[in-house]
Amino acid sequence: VTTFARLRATEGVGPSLPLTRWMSVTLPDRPPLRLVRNDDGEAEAEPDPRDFDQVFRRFAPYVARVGVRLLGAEGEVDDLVQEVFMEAHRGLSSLRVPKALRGWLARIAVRRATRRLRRRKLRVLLSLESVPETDLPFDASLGPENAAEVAALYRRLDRMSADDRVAWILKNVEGESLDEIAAICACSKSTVQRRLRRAAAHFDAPEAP
Amino acid sequence: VNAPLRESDAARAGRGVQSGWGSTDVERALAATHARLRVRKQRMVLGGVGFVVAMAAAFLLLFTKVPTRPLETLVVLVPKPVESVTHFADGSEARSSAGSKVVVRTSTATAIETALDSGEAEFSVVPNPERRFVVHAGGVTVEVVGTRFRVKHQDARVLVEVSRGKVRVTAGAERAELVEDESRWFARGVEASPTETAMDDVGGGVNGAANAIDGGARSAVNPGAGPRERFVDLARRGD
Repeated sequence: VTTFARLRATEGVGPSLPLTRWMSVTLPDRPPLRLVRNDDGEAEAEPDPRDFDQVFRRFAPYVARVGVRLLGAEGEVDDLVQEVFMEAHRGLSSLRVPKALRGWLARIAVRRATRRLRRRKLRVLLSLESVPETDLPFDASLGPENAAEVAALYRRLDRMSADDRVAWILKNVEGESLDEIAAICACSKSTVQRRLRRAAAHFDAPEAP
Repeated sequence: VNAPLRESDAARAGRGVQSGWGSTDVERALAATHARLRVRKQRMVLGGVGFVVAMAAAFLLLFTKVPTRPLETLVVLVPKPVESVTHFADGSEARSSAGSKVVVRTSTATAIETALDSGEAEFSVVPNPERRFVVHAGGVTVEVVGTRFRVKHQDARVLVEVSRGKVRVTAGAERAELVEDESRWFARGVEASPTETAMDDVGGGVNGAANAIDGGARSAVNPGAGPRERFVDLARRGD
């Protein structure tokens, strides 16, 4: 009874099975299996937030993709992913809504990436580091001209502030809504719009030498 | 390179950027993350242990009474203030402390006899082999030729301490010679001669012995009187 009582405390209350006339045992309850669609549109089981490995395998590619797009450098992505999941490890057990996992990880990833972008800008400003050459893996099926466009894109992004850059990528590349961007960046919707306007001003004009 | 880039083209180009992470990359990153988590856990454990140790040490420091060594008593030896100095005609002198009673019994060219009835006095005697210098103190007789010594009454004993020269001490049947830096206690006995005859030679002694009792040294004639009063006192008695 003690064992089951402990299970009840951690697992939730399940159905009661009568053992004798005076005693019954309550079985632990497991959350029902839910199917969700992944980034590729395929249906898969929603990961259990208490299973760190499962969460990592499910969301690491997403965090890596967001990271590489935000940072524009593949070399830092590995480190970023590890940092994001190390931070997530602390609060993962307290997360009660599995659906919120993706947005929560995105918030951590954006916060960490923004911090890295600011540090990089500071190092460039202090001439401790040169502007990194864009070396990104991209979809080869888009053609060689895509490589030039990607390089041009990141040259422009490097001239923006970290906040404007993040907002623009989340909106135009990741396809997030204004509400989602506001939640991820922990700011208001109008702030997001302002950042997007500032970022857009860097396009549609010849690139400054 | 510097051509305008439309926002829509930029967005399309951005969407082409992929992380390229496969299952191998994920597993490698997962292993690395686990390793970093282990390191963090170890650090937290070490930090926790360190914190507990620090708190325990702070608790011990704050709430336990550290036995402190009692302050050692500082003993300062201060010489007793000299109450009076008795000068003898041959240049010898007796420095007596407060409450001491020095009486000159005989003061001639061949003998100076003095008595220390109470307290203590330090005698500084000019060497002169032809003159006897004797100090009586409670039955103890100290005879010197030329020296510096101290005689002190204490309870039933008399201390004789020689700082220079040599003295011969007679205490009843006991006889002793003390040399420089020697001291010894002697039992007090009964004095043979009365002190009243002490000042017989004052003022009339050969070489002017003991004609300069000053500084308030008490005499048997009139203890507490100055030199002038003592002289008058002696004159009345016809001495």
